[in-house]
Amino acid sequence: MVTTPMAARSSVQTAVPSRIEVSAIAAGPVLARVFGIVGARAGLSLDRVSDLLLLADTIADADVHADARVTVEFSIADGQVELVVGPLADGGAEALTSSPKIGGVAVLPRLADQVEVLGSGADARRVRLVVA
Amino acid sequence: MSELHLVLPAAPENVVVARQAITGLCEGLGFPSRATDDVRLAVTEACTNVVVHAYAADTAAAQLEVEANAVDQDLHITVRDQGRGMGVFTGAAGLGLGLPLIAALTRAVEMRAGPGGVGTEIAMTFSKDDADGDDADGRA
Repeated sequence: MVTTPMAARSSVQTAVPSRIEVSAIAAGPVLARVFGIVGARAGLSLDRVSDLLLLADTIADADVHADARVTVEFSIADGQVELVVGPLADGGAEALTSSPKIGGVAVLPRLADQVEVLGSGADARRVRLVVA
Repeated sequence: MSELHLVLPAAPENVVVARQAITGLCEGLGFPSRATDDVRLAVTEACTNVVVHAYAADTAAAQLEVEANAVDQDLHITVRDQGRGMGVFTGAAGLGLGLPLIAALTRAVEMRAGPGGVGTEIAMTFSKDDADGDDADGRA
């Protein structure tokens, strides 16, 4: 498990997680619109909503998704947005958290307050992100 | 395999999530703006029907499901619930304009029982070709 904690926070919990599964061809605009409305509903600042939109582009553009389909579960609690991305292809979790880079710096840990690979080894096929 | 599969709690605030997801899908598929407007409005009406009519007020696991498939120039969208099914009066009747509106906006529409006879689904078909005259009024 790889964790990048920015601050100690309780895990985001809701009764019924929302789930979106979209083909790669339409993932960019779909995730951007959904993340935008979810961030706004969570009461995030405009800057953080912008970060969510960048996350949407990063997730949609990454060539890491199983069956060329982008799957994200999302929930809102306590002013935070929790995203769980996956299932991912083999090695996709590591690639998603470390490979997309701008200026040599991995994008996801810069945009999200928490980045966590769920599972280990061959079962590490999902990435959890928290944006507050 | 569908282009989009969305599962949400059947709550009023999630109707806009479904609408935004469908709008993004139309953008991704290159739907003209006028056809996208029709899709957005019809899906909004169908999702609102689920939220208002499909479940008893105290249902904890009320679910709204939207599935979309693109075939050639057509977009098939199904809005589905796992509620009480058709013909159950909820005591929350509206003006009765929702389904006629959906019928006016779609190329084809069918309302039926959900898979296994559970709940209700409304299957709508839209076409890019229905956007004749798109942008004639300056819309991008």
